[in-house]
This record gives sequence, C-alpha cells and structure tokens, in this order.
Amino acid sequence: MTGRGFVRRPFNPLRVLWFSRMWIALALLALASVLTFVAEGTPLYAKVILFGGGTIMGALRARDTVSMWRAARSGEVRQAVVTGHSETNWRSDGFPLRRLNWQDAVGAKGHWGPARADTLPRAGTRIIVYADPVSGRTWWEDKL
Amino acid sequence: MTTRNADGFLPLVMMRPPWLAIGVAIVAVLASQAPDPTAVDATGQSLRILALPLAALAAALALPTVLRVLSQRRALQGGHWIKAKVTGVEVLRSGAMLPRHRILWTDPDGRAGRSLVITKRWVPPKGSTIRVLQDDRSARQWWEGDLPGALPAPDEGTPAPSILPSMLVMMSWPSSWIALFAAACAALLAFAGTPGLLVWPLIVIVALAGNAVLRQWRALVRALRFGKRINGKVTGHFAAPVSSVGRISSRGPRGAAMRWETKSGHFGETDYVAHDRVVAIGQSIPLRVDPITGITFWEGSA
Repeated sequence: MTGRGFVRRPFNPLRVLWFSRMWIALALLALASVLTFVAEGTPLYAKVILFGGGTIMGALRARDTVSMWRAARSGEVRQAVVTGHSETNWRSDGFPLRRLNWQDAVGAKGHWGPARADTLPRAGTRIIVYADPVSGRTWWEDKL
Repeated sequence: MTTRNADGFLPLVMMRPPWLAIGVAIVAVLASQAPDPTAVDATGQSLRILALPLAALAAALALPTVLRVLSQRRALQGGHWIKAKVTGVEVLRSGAMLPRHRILWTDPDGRAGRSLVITKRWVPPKGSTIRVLQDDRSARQWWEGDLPGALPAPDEGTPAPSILPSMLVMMSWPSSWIALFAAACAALLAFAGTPGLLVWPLIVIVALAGNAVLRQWRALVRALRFGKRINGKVTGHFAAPVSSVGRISSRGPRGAAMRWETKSGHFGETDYVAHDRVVAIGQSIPLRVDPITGITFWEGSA
C-alpha cells in the first residue's frame, strides 16, 4: 500500500523533551538560573523552590526521558496491537483519562498515559512502537 | 491519484494562519516605534525595550506553522499517497468556535496521524477510509482535506450540472463587509491626514478579509461548477444578529442561516438567507462539495 516501504520517523530531541515532560524541569532550572545569576535581589526561598523543584522533576522524569531518547534515536521499530485502555482516576476538562496498553510483535507490553481516551486508538488498532535497546521498554511512535 | 498538486507557500499558511504570531508581530512593530530609551534626551522608560522580546516570541509562535507548511510542501512535491482508516474523531470542547474536531487515523503500517482542527467542515466518520499524503523526510502524514493544493475527489455524491454563481453572493459573507468597511475607514483616515501607524492596521485587515473572501469565492465557483452534489438535511435555523439588513429595514420577518447534516457525517451551515428562501427544519437541501477544500455550499446560495 505504501509503495516505497516504511519510513522511520527521524529523531527529534524537542519531541522527546516535550512528550516526556522533561521540558518542565528544564524550564524550572532555566528560570532558577536566570533569577540567581542574572537578576538581583531574588529571595533565597525562591531559588530553593525553583532549583529544588526542577531537580526533583528532572530526577523523576530522567529514566523515561533517557529511555525515550534511546528508543527514538536507535530503537527497533515494531508493530504492536492496542490491547485496551485501562482506567485511571484522572480527569481533564470533564474527559476521563485512560492509559493506552499495547503488546508488540515480540510480546513486550507497553503503555502510554494517562491521556484523553478520545485521542487514543481503540483496542485492536495496529500501531508502531520503538523499543529502547537498553531497557527493552517500548514507546508509541506518535508520542516520540 | 492526481499529479496536479499545487505547492505554493502562502495558500498553505493561509489554510490556518498563525493569528497569535501575527498579532504579537504587529505589537512588536508598534513597540519598536516608541521613543529611543538610550537617547540623550530620553525621559523614563520606553516600550521599545519590549520590541525584540516580542519579535522573538512571534517567531517562536509561528514556528509550528512554518514546520507544518514546510512538511506539507515536501509532501505535495515528493510525498506519496496512502489510504488510511479513520480510527476516531477527537472532540475539542474548549474554545469559542464549536464544534471543533480532529480526525485520527492509522495507515496499513500502523503509523498514526491526526488532522488539523476542523471547524464547520466535512468530518469523515469513524471507520471510513481517507487518503493521506506522507512526507517521507519527517514521516508525517497530512489528510488531503488539510492540503489546499491536493486534488481529492469526494467518493460520495453525484455529478450535477454546473451553476455560475452571482457575485452578489459575496455580500452575504461577513468578511466582505469587514473588508469594505475597513477599506472605507482607511481611505477616510488617509485623506484626513492620519499618521500611517493608524492606517496600516486597517489595510492589513482589508488584505486578510479580502483574502478570505477570495478564497471562499473560488471555493464556491469550484463547488458549483464541478463539485459533486450531496443531499443534506436541515437540522436547525440560526437567526441573524440584530444588526442584519432585514432587521434594520424592517421588511418582514428575519431570515436564517441553516444548519445541515448528512447521513455520513458531513455537517455545516449555509449563509444567512432571506425568510422566503429558508428551508424548513427536517427538509433536505442539495449541497455541492468543493473538491479542493472540502467546503460545502448550498446550491441555493448561488
């Protein structure tokens, strides 16, 4: 159908930082740096909150970000089938948030979310995932 | 598939203009006209220091549009067409212009894609097959309805005799009135010796509204000359605002804009028409689809 074979999505670090939410930590750290080293008279508690918050956020997201980075950069491409949506307690703007679950051709399972259910493919849909060569986790191409 | 794909830059930008970036850029230009804060006789602060940050912000806000247009151009020039299946329609509930939808699709390989936000346009129903154009360099896919230069043919609908629309139709579009009044105001102000800074925004408004009118007119002509005919059902009437012509001149009852829907999920709204031409709710109306933009017009609006 596609005629010319599969085209791998090119690696885009900005997409990885966006979808892993690492940009929030980087923004906090950048703001903290500007307030500390450029602006004058910033109270100590503001510096502590921003540097601390940025560091904690970065530490929490580091593992996923590195995994997504490797997967997008040099990961194996696999086809996966959506096995279903699992419930979460999260809501956004009146929409319930669900987690997307898939199982790829090798048998590895993966998930994405919480996300709005109407933005996710239904159970049984075939999707493309990229596998992280180190940890083996798989990431949906749409969010990579 | 057709090979006659247009690849202009401006049509692709104007498909969904970066309004926020344009507004911020205008504000940046205005701020750059403020007095120089580094001059010898400068007094206090000047808005001019905001010009450069605002220009940077405008560039950042325009970046997604620029990337989209570059990708769409590459797709139109050297991409290949793929038949994809609609896996869902994302409903966007926030925002003033409702309803707003986004089509989600998956191609036979499993690659997912999503359309731009669709307002008052044809939305392919879930499960239907659509055609998307893949840009191989960024591996992004674009729905043919988001590519003004692509030449799709609506699968449904029957051929119908061509109609030549009258130019007077344009007078029932708000954009024409906006363009005319902005042009009149600009001319009046210019002759009165107003500084150019106050006249230029009006000329920009004339250009933008005129572009919208021209685009709509070309879509209407295409739809009525070689568009396919589909049948819709009127689902509602929308009365005109109080400032409409019929109300001011008090020549009888008001007209309405008719909201319509088809069985396969097309929906839209006709222009505002006088009361004697309004079709009752529940009746069917003949519609023509513009093969290039997918905008659908009522045959009676000619």
